[in-house]
Amino acid sequence: MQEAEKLIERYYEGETSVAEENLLCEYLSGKNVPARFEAEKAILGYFASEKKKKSVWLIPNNLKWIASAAAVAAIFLAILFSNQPSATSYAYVDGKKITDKDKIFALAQTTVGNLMSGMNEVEIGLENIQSGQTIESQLDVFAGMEF
Amino acid sequence: MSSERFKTEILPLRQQLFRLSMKLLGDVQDAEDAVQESLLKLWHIRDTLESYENSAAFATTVTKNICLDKIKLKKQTKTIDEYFVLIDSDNPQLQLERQDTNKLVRFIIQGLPPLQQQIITMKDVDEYETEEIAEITGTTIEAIRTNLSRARKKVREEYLRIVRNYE
Repeated sequence: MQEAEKLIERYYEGETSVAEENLLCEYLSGKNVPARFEAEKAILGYFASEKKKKSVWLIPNNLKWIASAAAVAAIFLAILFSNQPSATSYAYVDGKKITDKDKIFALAQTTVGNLMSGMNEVEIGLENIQSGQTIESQLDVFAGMEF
Repeated sequence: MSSERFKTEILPLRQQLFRLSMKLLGDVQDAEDAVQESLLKLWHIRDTLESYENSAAFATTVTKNICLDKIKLKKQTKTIDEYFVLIDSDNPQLQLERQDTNKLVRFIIQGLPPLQQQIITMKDVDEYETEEIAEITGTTIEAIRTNLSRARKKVREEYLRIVRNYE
């Protein structure tokens, strides 16, 4: 506590080093800080939050060119891959994309199966039409009769 | 521009920039502050300085603008009332929450003289040591320490004054 008091005093005289200020900041952000350090808690708390903001956005100068080179490479690769035709299999079922090959094959088979049964229905329909013709031929019996 | 080049190309312009500031401001302390401010500003943009054909001419322009800003600034002073607009005035029993506290401290710092603002930010946020700031501005460690101390004491005094006013 006494140490903190001394540090605060030196802080206001502009005598503390960056390392000492970080130490002080750590102490003030902890629990059980006496109420008389209210202003210091607020001020150093503000600086700590500003430092945090900076550390999120700041890239050190010597890393800047690496960062820009990486960005250029990423864009180049993105263009390269987006232009290549995709060789993967996929199917949309009820609006859902399926990329598993086996599943797609199974689905394709069921669809073809459905088509076949559809054709059966057509055949039955045709048979019905034929039976319709039988009725017509039966009606022919009445042809030539007068009522 | 590397820090070494800054020191060999920009720092030697100090005298010339001081004379210009003296002519515009007519006060030794104000002129000294303007020069330090200019050098700190140039330091922060040192990466782009090479793109100017004549960095000396650019440094002169920066200093001139800072002096003109100082003349303008002298005519207006910030008041505590401006701060009350910043925070929720609908809540009379306002507790200063962390976010409000940060807003208040930022507001107070923005009200400091520009040079003090720059020094306190470089020391307390950018983590420059006093010696480094003195080197960049071509001034003594003692001069930087005095300004830093003034700035910090002023922020404390203003903070407590505003908070007491609230209670």
